[in-house]
Amino acid sequence: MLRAMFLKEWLKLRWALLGLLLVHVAMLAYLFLSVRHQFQVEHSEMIWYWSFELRRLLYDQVMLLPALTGAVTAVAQFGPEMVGGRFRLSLHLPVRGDLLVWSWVAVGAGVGAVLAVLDAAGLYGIIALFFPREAAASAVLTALPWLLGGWVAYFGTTLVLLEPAMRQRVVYLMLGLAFLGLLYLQRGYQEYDRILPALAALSLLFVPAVILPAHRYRHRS
Amino acid sequence: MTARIARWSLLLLTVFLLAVWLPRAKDLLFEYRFGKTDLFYSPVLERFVYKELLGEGHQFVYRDQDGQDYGREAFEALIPFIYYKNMELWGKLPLELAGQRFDKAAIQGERLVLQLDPDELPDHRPRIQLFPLLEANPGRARLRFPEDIMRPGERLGFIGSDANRLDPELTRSFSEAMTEAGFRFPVRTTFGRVSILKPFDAGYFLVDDDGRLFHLKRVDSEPVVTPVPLPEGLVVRHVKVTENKRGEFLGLLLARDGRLFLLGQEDYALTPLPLPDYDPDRMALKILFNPLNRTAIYSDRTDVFAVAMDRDFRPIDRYQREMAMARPRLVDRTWDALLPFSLTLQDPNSRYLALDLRLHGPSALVGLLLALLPAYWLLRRRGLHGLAPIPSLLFVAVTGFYGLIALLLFPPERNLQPQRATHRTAGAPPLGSVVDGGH
Amino acid sequence: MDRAVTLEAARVRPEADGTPAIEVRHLAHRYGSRSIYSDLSFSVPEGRVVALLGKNGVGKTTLIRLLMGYLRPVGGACRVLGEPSHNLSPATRARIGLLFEGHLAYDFMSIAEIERFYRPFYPRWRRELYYDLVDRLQLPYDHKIGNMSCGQRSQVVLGLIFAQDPDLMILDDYSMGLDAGYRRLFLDYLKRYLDQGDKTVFVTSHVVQDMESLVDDVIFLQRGGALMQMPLAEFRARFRSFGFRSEGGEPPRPDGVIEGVDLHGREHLLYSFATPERLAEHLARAWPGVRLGEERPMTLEDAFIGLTGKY
Repeated sequence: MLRAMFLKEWLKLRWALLGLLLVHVAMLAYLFLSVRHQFQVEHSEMIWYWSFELRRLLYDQVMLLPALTGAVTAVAQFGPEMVGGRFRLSLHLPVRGDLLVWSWVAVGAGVGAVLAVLDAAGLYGIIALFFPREAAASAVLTALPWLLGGWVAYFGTTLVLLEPAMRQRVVYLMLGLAFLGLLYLQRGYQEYDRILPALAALSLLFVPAVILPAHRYRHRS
Repeated sequence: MTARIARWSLLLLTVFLLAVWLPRAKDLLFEYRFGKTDLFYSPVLERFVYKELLGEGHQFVYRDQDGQDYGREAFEALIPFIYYKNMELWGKLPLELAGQRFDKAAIQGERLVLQLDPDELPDHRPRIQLFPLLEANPGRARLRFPEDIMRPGERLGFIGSDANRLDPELTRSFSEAMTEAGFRFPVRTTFGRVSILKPFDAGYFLVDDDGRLFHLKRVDSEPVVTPVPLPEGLVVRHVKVTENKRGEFLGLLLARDGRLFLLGQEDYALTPLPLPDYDPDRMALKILFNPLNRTAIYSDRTDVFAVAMDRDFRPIDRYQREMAMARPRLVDRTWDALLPFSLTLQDPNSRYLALDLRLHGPSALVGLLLALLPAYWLLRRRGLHGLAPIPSLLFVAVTGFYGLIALLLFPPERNLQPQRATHRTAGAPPLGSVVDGGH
Repeated sequence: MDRAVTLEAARVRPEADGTPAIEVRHLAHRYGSRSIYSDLSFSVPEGRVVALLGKNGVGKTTLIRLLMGYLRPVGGACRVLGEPSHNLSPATRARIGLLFEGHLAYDFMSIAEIERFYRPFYPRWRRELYYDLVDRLQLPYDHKIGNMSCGQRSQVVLGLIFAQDPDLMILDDYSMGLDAGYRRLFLDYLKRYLDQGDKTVFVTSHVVQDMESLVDDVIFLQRGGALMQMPLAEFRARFRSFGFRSEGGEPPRPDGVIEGVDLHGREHLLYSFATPERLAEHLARAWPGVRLGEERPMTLEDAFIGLTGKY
């Protein structure tokens, strides 16, 4: 049964996943080239000074990539379920509806996690080429809230898509955006180091939350 | 069941986001120019004087501590060392004060401002632990950044910035010099001022594994390491290095226990500063030097404190006042009464974001009660009777209007049972769990 | 409904042992303030093939959605295989085959993929039934469902329901989008499958004629929630149509004995469950100006329209 569920998610996700993979690789390549370009046109010690002391982020081009990835993944997974009310097909399967929806988001979140690891590893590798390892580790820590943004965007989009009523969709959209808005307040590196565990814990509330729109879809109440 | 958990998760999430965003929206709408009170010690009056913003706009008062008002020009004449350029313009130089004469050069020679803001403290800001160690004797007018960076750790590493590779020779010679001076690795903390826009370079102060302080400079490409003697029991929290032309003090040293010292430039002598109520974690501090006095002024968002000292940092006088702008306005009091708490992420005293819960106090009971009434009405309309609305009401009783809004956005499911009962009394088979039918 | 006919039909119908496959009691539903029905009751015994017939807008779709469990009734009970329809256990859902309006299926799957997807969910899965149906389409197994015609898709969907081997099938408007050939094909396969016995079917269709050879019972749903349920054979035997002329006075109106009056055609027609003798007697008393003509032969569709009216 689990394999069947994975099969369906895979069929829905494969092209989106390929596209996302290409976008991520392209984005990392661009990041590499732009950092390299900086070091070609400026003196290395000055770039280091800007980065460490003035806290300029040379890698903030990737800031919104995880959020975009989360939204695209959710659309790829739940768009086909919602078109023409196909969600009803899944809800009739002899499986508990909540477990079904959770298995879907587990797949989506898993896919997101793989891409997030790719991003983090890529970011570390690229920064470590031009900076000491402390700076590379700092870049990954700085990017963590953005990666959490991917999680929030994924669940926000999922809520919007699963919800049958327009009014409630707007509510979920606002909710997702309001949370996302808290993840991009940085003015320099690693400013989320202390708050991130709390924000990550709060973002876990999205996991049970996805059951409500599915429940409402089932009962149209 | 899971649908109920889902709803409660969304209620919590909504309250959290509202508690962050509504106060932000309120600030966006109602925040005002927060003019901190400028407090000085007047060597003319030998009393404290201040300039304070009243209301919105440009309405300043210039007043002394006894409530005497002054015109702007008269006020500036009370603190002539601050406004010495105006004094010069108005032909009031040289000054005669306390039986001494001060010309422009004398004033300039004594002037110094040392500052320490809460967000500069090492545990208030993230810092990548890599520091450029400048050549202290550049042999030319301007300082420049070296092409290597210092990595304090198990040894003193140096990494070339062009190749991004460790320089083994530099690393070895500096680490050895440290060890020879008695430094015990690893380096615990590093303090210094990373800039080339300063009159000279004083290098870094490093705390070793035993908590001892060392001064490191790079002079003619060679390491110069000097142990800094510390009084017994002093644990260094921060050293604010402020290279200045005056040459007497190199900066400030903050101890873990809150004591603040001036750090002598030549002999590293520590001069204690008597600052009652000073809390480095949330107060900005300024030390003003003039030919006659030193004044320490420190303030948080509500109060400003000042200690006037003589040239030897012995206190002469002190003063404290609540700033006019810090007094809560009607909009603030109304806000605090309507909502039970606010959450902030950004702390003006730190570069780290943190979740800070501010409880609004007893006046918030008003808002809680106001929110409970519509909440009760809503729950009744959804057909919840008896004990059923209690959890939601408790929720609103704690979260007030935040909770009410959340409840409106995610209302409980309609309870259909009692309505049916009025239609028909018998013959209906039992329904499943209508209220909370999970899948 | 307190019509004599319904009561009679209820008496005639043999109740199967145990719980009925579908049991609707005092069902009420409304959208906002618009009430669809306030007190609907009927049941479908196990093993019967029942058609739900009614004109557009009488709440057929709502009833189907309630039975499928995608709506929660505002009042009353709607039980399917013994459980509340909106709260079916997974095990019970496995025993119910649903055909959604428009032959809903996962468009992004191929013929083989969709079978592979559904198979593990159903312990009684009968793969051969699916491929028996689908092979006749002569399409490669990697053909995407999204690229199929409506008729081809209906075969796939029917094949999936067959393979599921459900005890109860709820088929919502299977004829939608199908041309005559595929419609006939769908019915042929369905009938052949039902010949194995023991299956309960609840079906709606816009093509009333198709029901003639398929169903055992019919349920007529009328605006306002009036409902009439009886065996099809009984309906066909007892529901009659007569030509008539009105000699002065107003034309007759439905009154309990007269079920319907059709004044739109060349010949005015009158419909009733009563025997010709009883009808003549009734007319003489209640509508003396009406002259009853010959009994007219009817198709099922004629009878359906006669009962429910054209508007």
